[in-house]
Amino acid sequence: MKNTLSKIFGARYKKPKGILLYGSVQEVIQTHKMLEDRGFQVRLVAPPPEVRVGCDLAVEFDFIEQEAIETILASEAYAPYKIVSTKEMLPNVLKKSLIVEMDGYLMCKAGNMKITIDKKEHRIVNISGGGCPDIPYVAEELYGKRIEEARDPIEIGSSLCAYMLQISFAALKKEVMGP
Amino acid sequence: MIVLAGTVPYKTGLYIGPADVQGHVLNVGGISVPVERGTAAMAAACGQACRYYGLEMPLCLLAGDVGDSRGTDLMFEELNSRLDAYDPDVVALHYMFPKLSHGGPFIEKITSLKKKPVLIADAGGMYLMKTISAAPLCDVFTPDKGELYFLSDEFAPHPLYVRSELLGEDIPLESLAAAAYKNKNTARTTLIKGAVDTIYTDGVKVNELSQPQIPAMEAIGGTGDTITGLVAALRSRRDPEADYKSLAVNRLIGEAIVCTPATQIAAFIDAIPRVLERYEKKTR
Repeated sequence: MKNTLSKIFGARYKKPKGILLYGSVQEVIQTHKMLEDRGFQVRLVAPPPEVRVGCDLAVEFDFIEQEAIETILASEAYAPYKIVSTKEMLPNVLKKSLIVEMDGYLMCKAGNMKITIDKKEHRIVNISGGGCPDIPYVAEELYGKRIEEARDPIEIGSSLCAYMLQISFAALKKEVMGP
Repeated sequence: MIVLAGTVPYKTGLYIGPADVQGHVLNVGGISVPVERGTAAMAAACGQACRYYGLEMPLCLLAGDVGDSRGTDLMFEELNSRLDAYDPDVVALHYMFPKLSHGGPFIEKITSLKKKPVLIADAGGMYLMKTISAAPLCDVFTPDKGELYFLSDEFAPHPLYVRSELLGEDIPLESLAAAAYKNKNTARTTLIKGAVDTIYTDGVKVNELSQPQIPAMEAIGGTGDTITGLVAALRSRRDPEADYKSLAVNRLIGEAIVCTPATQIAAFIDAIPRVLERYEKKTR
């Protein structure tokens, strides 16, 4: 365990990286997707501790691409509220999910977030886990809907837990609909 | 008095009052919220247990918050300025926006009380306490294994940031718990929910439960929240078996109502009095 942790944590970049900060998780996710689609080497990360509010996400980029990124962000009205630099190798976000079958239902979990549908109609029958305030609201909105027709959790909620739910939701949707 | 603080999906505001559980609805401070999951489920479970044992009903500080943190701000304004007025013997923190700026003043307030209450943290409350390094001041955390990864990872500010590399290792629960205690990132007592529920106190495994086995419970939103509500009531009652009993009763409820992955948590809350009654009779 200790070796694993020391391998993963505490690393620093030789050259600083740029960090785009936004006011909401949704804006960060949209920006990340837009920049990734355009071929930039970007990563979703936890903001550096000195600018962290408590439940937030940021986009890491290579400073060599700053000018191009800033131009695109300005033209697409995706301007961040702040750009900071860091040498700290910031945590990558969780992407792993696991689908479990039980008694006619499929449950998918990503970290502490779980979503369950019935196998026959693909209706969302339960959402479990999380600790951010929007999760009960997101769950209320999704409950009873077919996963093919339900809105993405991250369109309804805006927290990191909603983003984790999005990961399990997307994996389950892919499982029933195919890639 | 038990003080339960957390958010509910309701318009921004702070609603204060004793838990009044009527069927599948929780009435507090002039609002009615369905007992579906989260803080409402925790408060309803606690209320049901308090009613069964004849305890004073828990006082709820429900913050209407759908994710913009404004309700959470109101809740901490109240907790950080007036917690002493409630003279709590148990405080449970639940769903909330884990804003770091609230944590320090909260800890300052709770440690300034003449009599430190039992401090229980779950959900966003647990994330906050861990991230501000206040976990050792807490008496009970109630993580599942996914959240235990978060507690064991000293750098993760939220379960989302538990490294995929770390998750890929499928680390045994014992190692995760050891890391969480070593790094002072968990409470004195950690109730780890899962196929096998495990209780740790001060870094030592003190008990575990694996029966009855009810795999469907993992899928049901709120089955962790009911444990938090039960342990708050039982700790307030100074029940020496509080931790074990909370986990055992929760499992027995799943068995009694023959739950499936589609069962809603309200069915669990309905069954609390009769399962507690059966449990108490059997162990008396």
